[in-house]
Amino acid sequence: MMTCPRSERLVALFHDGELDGPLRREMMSHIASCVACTRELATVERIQELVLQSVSDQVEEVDFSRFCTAIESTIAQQSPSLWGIQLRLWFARWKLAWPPSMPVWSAATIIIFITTVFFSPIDSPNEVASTPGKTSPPVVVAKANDQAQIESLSATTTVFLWNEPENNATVIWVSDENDGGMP
Amino acid sequence: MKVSRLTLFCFASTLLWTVQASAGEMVELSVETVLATDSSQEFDNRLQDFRQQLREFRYSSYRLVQQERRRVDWGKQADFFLPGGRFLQVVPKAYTNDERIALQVMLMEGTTPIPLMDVLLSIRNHGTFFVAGRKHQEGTLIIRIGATTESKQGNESGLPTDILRRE
Repeated sequence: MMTCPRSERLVALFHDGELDGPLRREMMSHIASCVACTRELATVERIQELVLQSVSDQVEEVDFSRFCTAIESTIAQQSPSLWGIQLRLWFARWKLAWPPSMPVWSAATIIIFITTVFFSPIDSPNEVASTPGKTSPPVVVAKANDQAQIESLSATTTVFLWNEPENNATVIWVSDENDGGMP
Repeated sequence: MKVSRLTLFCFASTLLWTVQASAGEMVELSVETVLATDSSQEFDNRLQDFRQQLREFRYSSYRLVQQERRRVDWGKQADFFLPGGRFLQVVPKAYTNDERIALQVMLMEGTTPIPLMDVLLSIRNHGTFFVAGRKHQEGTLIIRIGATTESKQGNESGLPTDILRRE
């Protein structure tokens, strides 16, 4: 079997486009006249084709039909709100402009604490807040969360979970093997 | 032997009070199964009270196919047979400190003993939630599960009552 010292390393680099201009041109003219390097280049190209074919076949077997819905569902559950992002950005900017120092933070904390203790009205622990002597109806602060609170969930199939805040509805969507798609 | 009317009234009242007291310590579970399809524009009038919630599922037709209510003791399981050979098992676990009912819900299908879905959750008293997604007769089943109790002490599971408490 014919061998060429260049075919060991340079052909693969040439194939991958890793050689710079002069060396690439020299290698190109060499391959045109060298049987061993031509054969090596053909082998490398064939290997790449096989790898690509194998990867493509495997990718085609993967079911991506639920991919986008699953991402949307996860984002909806995990992503912070727009307000949350804006608050974080504002805090980051503020932090850069006003680098925090321990005494300032301590003083601010003490002031807030004193203000809260001395100026906040003492309410009963229940949720009804009213002002004596006034005829306005009591303000009822809703405490109850109408949505279901999930403690643990296990399933042998794909399960989506979402809350509808407007309707106070919690939905556990147990995908069917045949379809699995949410409406 | 004559029984006075007063004695009879007292006996009946005591009996009624006992029945009511024992019933009050139970949990009433409700399971409503709806078949949602896109084949028509039909909306079952019996589903009016949660029409808006159903609309979120984006189907064009909703029909109530099964409705069942069951009273069970705390910690005792209630089994509901659903269309398509499915089976729903609900166990009221506890009444939590924040006035919610903790439930364990298992959805089973076919003959396999492993549940398709097993969830431990809490809903407010008189609250509901939905389990949906399984196919049935060219449509999808939407199951509304609710729980109601007058008892504030049920915790037969041995779980601490604040186990499901969250901020």
